Amino acid sequence: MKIIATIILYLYCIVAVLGQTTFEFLGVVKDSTTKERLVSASVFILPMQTGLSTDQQGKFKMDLPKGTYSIQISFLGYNTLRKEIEVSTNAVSKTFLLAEKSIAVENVNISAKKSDENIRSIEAGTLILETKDITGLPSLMGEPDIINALRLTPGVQGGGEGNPGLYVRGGDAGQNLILLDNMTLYNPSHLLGFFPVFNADIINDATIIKGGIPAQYGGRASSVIDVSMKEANTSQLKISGSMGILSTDLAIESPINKGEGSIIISGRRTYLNAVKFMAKPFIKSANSFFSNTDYYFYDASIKLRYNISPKTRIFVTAFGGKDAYNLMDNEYNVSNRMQWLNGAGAVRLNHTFSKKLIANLATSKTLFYYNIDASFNTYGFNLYSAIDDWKNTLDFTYLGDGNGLLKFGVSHTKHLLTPNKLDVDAGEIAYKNTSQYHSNEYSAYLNGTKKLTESFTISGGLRSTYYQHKGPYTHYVRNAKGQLSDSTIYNAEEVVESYLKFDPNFSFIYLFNNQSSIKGSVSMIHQFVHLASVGTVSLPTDVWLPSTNFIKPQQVLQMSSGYFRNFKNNTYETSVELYYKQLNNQVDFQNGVLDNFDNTKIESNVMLGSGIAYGAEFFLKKKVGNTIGWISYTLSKTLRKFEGINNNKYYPAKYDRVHDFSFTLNHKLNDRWALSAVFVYATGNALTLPAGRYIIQGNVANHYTDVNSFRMPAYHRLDVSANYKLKSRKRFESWLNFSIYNVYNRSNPYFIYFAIKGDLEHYYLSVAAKQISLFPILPSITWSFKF
Amino acid sequence: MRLVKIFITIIIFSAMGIFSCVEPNFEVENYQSEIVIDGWIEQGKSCQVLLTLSAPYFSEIDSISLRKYGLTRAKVTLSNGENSEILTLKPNTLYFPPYYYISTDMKGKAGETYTITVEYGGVTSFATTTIPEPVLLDSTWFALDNNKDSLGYVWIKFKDNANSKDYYRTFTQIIGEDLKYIPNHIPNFNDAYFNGQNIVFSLFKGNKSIEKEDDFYYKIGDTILLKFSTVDRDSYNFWNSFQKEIANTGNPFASSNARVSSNVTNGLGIWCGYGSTYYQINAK
Repeated sequence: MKIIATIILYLYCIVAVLGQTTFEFLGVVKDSTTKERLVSASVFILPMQTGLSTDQQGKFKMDLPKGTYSIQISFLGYNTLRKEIEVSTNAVSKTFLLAEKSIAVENVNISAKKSDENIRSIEAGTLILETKDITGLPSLMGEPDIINALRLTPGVQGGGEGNPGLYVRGGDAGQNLILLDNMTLYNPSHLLGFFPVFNADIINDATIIKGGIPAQYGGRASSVIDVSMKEANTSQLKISGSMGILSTDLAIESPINKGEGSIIISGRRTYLNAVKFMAKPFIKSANSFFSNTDYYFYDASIKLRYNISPKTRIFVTAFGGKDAYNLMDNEYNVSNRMQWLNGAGAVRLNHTFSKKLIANLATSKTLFYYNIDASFNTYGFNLYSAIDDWKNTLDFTYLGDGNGLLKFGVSHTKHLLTPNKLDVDAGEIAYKNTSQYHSNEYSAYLNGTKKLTESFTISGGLRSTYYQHKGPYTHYVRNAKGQLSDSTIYNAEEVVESYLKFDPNFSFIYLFNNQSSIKGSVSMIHQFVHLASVGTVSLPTDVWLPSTNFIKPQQVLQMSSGYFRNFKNNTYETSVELYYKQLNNQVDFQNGVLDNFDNTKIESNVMLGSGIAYGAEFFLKKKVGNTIGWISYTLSKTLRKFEGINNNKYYPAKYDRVHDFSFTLNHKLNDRWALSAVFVYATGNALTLPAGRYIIQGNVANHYTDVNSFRMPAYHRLDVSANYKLKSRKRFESWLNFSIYNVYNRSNPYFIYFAIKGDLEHYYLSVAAKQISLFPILPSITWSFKF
Repeated sequence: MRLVKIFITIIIFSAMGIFSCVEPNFEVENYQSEIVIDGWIEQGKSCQVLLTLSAPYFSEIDSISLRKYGLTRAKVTLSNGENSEILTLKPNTLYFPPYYYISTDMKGKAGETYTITVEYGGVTSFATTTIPEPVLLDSTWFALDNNKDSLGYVWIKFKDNANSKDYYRTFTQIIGEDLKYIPNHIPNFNDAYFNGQNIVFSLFKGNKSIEKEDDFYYKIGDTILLKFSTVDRDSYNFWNSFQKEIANTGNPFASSNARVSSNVTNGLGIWCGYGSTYYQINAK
């Protein structure tokens, strides 16, 4: 095999030499101290006035006629390097070392991409946030949260108070493909979104793709959130960490075998127990809510890279996070335990076949589960729900002649879903119910980008997925009256239902000039696993369901376009984007989770509907200077339609946001102090409230008129923070972050309930709406360090 | 150090201990009250219809306004397709409102379909129901709970009809304790899981309050009257959704999409035909 590969390689070289009229020049751009490769640094050949940027491995390649050239390499946060190069033979390779500018950590870089990247990149509806971008922003408990920061950008919404979900352009929280170094994660969150999911020490950047999703991604209908872990420093040992009031984290980076490999390990743990112990003298009642509850989470991650050969590298990554919450009340004999876990691990081989062809072979495993245990006297209740994925992928990237790029590959995902495993023991009644589903997704894709002229570039692709729902499974057949008339039993590996779906996408960019461009995209995406919300509040207890013969795959068609314009030499970035979406086979529970008792299958409780979503996104960002920040505003409409609801007419989805506004500001006072603020405003969630009530057999029933015809009060909040850089010694740097979350102590609604007083027997009834809010004003202080 | 401790305590308390609670305002503009029918007809018996108007959700209800919601001036007509009768208003002490409309000539008959028409204030509401064939129980008995000395359940045994989709509803009345038949705890069920089979069931006592564990039990010494009824599909759907609505009201973890279905056109509520059989069980 190796011989064949070598021969092909030789043949390739011969062909390359024969066809050559220019010489190939290869370069690698690295950090001068850490020797880390710099991705997307811009390279400019001065006399020729042409430029390009470095690839994923910090490399670039250009064909030049024989001669001497002046080359200029720049990268935000680094000093610009200017050098003379001589091109006289083929395949000259040179390494360029860039020295980091000495910037205080709180001096936030909004982007390390090229300054006009937003104008030139073909991806409309795509945004990249780097950890550097957000370290200066105020954060709850002082921990920077990259997922939270995405919510501050146009088209991306949070779900409101205590809801960790992301809602992208009218999609629901289960329609986001969340990838951590190519490992799929299912609704990752810590304590109702209170803490960031990912430890900022290990995250390099997060990319969100809202529209025109390329074919290499698939399986989620609304967005891709691709979080990449930092690669460890290859030249020296580095330790960084932070200590806050409730948690501490630590990350260690180390080179392996003189830079042949590297490893980064990080961990984080809350210490509420210790804090509780310290706070004990101040709590009077021994039986308060505070002393009866216990909460902790931890997470850990590892990334290892090793160069097996000059062309082959191996990556091993893993992530695990677990939350546990306990409530014990001995007086009332009540106990309540809740746990949820997110875990994933992957091994990836990266091989460079040639300068143009790179391949990645990866296998990964994902597990998400939650478990709720509750008991009251002799009653016991246990609910377990899980999703277990095993994914294998083979991806190729073919770099064309500089004007094109081709990505293609195949993948297989094996899902094992356990939407609900219920175990109820209520004295006389003992009830057990497990529903479990096995399914497979086989996909193949091809996606290409081609620069047609200097100002016009197109991109397009196709992804096809063959989905199978497999046994063991029992299919219940019902007659017209809904009566159980027959059942078919499928054995393991027997195919119950299959779907073959095609997801095409197309996008284009037209550059008017160096300062403005127009982009457009259209894409169709199918999704085979569904997140169904079980209540009116969002908890990690929402349920993942597969596609079956009852539940058809979701289908989302999106069209979007945008105008991008930069001002004052890219100091200001602005954009307006429009989108329209048609959503089919959307999933909702008919009667809530409490209806599980009376059904043979959880899926028969689900109803399918459709939806439309459209909106306009406005973005203004100041990128350079001592004062930087952005304003984002989204005006949108998200509608759903389900049979039998609101006379089969469209109605607002729960997360329909008419207005979504956010404002972030960073101001550098001096070398030590930096201040920042974030303000968010969002229209309240739509909700269904009874409009009237009536009496049947002495019981009061609610009279609902239209679904989601009411609105919760608007969500708004201001956070501020200050970063103070402490005196640094040699390699040791540390700083303090003072944050105040919810400065004006706004009570944002978590859920609304009604308190009914009186009863009919006494001929008196009164009703009052009550709103529960979670997070009041929260000051915090965090000490961070690195050396 | 003390300052630090206080600071920490404040944070933990505000974060974990005290969820704040405020009262938001929701305005329901121009709520239009609807006619609410709560009526039933049983084989061999007169029909009974309680009529009310629905009230705006946030209005306070007291003894004066409650009477306003009871309808006493409606024209209520019962019809079986051939004959019809205008119902008579009479006082009642068992249910709210303190008046009901009853038939004097027409009595229910199994297998027949009945329509009720209510005319009030220019609005006509109507509903149709069928009295299904009653089902005879093979046996009924009382048995103690394994862990209890004097408390237990009522058990029933019967054979479901294999050729029809059957919906059931059960009630009990303890003599000397209850003034009327009270639906059991989980009173509605259908034959989805036991079509055509012999089935043995335990019935829990129905109660308004579920706070006390012992309230699901009948006790030794009780004389229990059992009403075992069959209902049609629309009536079952109503009672099933009604039961859920009562149980889930205010529960944020239950979906708010659940709504009470109704067989009433131009109104709310239920017009229900019962095919009933009656039993007496002496708990000993």
